[in-house]
Amino acid sequence: MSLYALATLFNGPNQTGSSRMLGLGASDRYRPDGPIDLLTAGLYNFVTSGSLICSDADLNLVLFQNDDFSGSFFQLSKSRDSGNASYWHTGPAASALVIASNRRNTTETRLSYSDLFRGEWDSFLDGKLAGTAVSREGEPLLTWRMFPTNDQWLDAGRTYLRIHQPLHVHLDWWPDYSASMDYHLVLYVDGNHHLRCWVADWECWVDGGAKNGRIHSSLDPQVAAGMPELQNQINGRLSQLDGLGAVKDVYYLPGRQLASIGTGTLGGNTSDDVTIVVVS
Amino acid sequence: MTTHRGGFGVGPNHAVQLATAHTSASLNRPDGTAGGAASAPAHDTVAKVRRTKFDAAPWCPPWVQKMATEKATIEEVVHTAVKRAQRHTTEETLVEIETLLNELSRDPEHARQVRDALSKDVIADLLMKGAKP
Repeated sequence: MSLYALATLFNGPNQTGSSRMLGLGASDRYRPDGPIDLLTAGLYNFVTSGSLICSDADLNLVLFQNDDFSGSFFQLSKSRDSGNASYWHTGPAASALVIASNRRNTTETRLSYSDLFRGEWDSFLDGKLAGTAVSREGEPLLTWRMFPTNDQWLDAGRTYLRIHQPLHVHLDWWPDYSASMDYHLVLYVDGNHHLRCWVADWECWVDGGAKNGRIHSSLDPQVAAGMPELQNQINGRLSQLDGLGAVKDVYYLPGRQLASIGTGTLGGNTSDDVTIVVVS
Repeated sequence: MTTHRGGFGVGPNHAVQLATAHTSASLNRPDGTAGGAASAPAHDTVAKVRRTKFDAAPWCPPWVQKMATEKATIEEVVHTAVKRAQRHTTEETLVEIETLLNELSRDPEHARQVRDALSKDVIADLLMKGAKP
């Protein structure tokens, strides 16, 4: 085991002030740094400068608007072949994530979460909702959920793809209700070195009101029952990627990054899209 | 609305104004959300996450405790830590030293000492060792 990438964050310009190092070892993919870590180092929303150095993989330092690695993000990336680099930054830094990409002797295939799953989701949900009093309220939010803390259904050590779908519940005579459903997906490499998915949880929210309980009673079992069916449908789609060869790893980058940005910067929002990187 | 600005090198002349990002949907669940979890499949290989949390509190490596007892300066601790990193490039040692130096670097003056001791050449040397199979 060894160090192969190091990002340093300073709260002053030109690498001054208090600082924090985020290292990555040879087998590490992610190094999250949450709001508490940044706060105690005087770096919460005050990452002003720093340096990036890496050897065997590209290094991506991503700074987020929100405490939970979500919202507006700014990514500083350094190619493994371009020595060390110093950077400057202004803007939110409520959480930070270091991600290794493009590791030497591997091949990466980059896919858009939205491109890959939106069609599957629409056909899955529209089939389920046909002839019911519930309709889809627009397109789903397809984003990620990284290392969720204080969550009774999700694991703080995992990374998830999130599907959030607003719904509209029509009631005879009675005013309509808003509702939403969520699934969290985990992409993983199975024993045959294929990329597969499991649906980790389901969630259902309904507007408060007199009919809340009745709607929950009707909607919750259907959302829960949809987990295995959605999982099978997605795995059917993922099996089309088996031709990529033996998959070694899968990880995510924020936004739409279908090509490596090398040494450079990128801004966006985690709600825009998620890039699924399949490593073979 | 939030906007980041940043880039490589030094100075605001290289600033790039980014497109305004829209607000993401809140990940906090509203009251009354129902839900349930499923168990993971048997063969579930996922990307590895580096963690540097130590359970013992207050955390302090024995060699640092010894130096503190001997009234060593912070600068001496920093230099010793860097030498240890150069001598023993194991994951355990590196994580320990990273944690120690991050603790010390909460103070700007100590951060400066760490920055000076952990020069680009020293880091490059550590990474070169890391690059070996």
